[in-house]
Amino acid sequence: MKADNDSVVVGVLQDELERNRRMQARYQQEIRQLPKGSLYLRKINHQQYYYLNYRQDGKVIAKYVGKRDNEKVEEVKKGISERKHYEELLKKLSSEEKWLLKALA
Amino acid sequence: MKHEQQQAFWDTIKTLHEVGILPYIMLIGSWAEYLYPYLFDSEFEPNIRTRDVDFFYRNLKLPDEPVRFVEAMKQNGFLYQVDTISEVARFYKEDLLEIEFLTKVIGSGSQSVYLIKGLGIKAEGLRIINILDDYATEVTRNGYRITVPLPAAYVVQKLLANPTRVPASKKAKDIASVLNLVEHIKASKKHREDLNRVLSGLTQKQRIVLDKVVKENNIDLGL
Repeated sequence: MKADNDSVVVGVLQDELERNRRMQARYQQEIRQLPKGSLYLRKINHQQYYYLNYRQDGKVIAKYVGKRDNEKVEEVKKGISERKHYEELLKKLSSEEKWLLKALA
Repeated sequence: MKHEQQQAFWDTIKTLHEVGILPYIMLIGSWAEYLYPYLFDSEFEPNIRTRDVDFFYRNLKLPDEPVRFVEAMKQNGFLYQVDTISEVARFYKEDLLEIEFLTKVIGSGSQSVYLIKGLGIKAEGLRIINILDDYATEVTRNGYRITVPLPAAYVVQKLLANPTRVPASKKAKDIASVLNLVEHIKASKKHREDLNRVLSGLTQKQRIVLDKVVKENNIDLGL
């Protein structure tokens, strides 16, 4: 006896679709907790300060982060980098979701 | 993806080894098949592997002392997720793997979620995997000793679970796995003996279920 190949493939794809959506939801949740935008270094009176520039409701916001060697700056840099990484993963997962839906249609 | 996914699998094993819980768990599901080629002399090729890596937590009382498991997983690039409804823990490695822990259901209880105290996470309880606990073997690979079910027990468990398998779409995948493995079990004296041993340990009720699934799917177990 041979297992029905179509049923096997459909089963696997459905399973992967569910998993894909769970992963996307988790990465979206993680992204919401991470800083968005980019860090910008400003020189004011011979001192260097980092600001986080990001868009909100169509406006560009510059939020003070700290002095150049401040721990908070490193934390924000790490957060931005993680956010970008998760956004890349989300893009891949979203594209895969479209493919899975097409294959299951 | 294949190489990256395999690397992610070994990263998972490494983390489990480093926190000291590898001896307490059994790799089950399709990723167990990934290690089965090392148990056969014939050229067994595993069935389709998904992102889903399932570990059967065999003794909830171990380890005696709490380990910083979630932190260790996070440090090794896993994202921790607690299911909002079931509270079962999941770990995601990039877009490559989803790690879950399952455990057996003891007694007549209907509890479906169990706390692994030493790890501080919850695992899903599944009565249907109880049988795997009695038929463990080990594969040593990449310097790690990994416990997997005997291929014979893996096959029998899939057959027993088939009638109640949810979602139903997984039934065909399980039968395909069984068919793939059975040919290699039949070709080996050792694995045939294992199969006979597993079958002789079944209750009458389990045997009826197994015979029915075998018949419905025209599976030749070589008995």
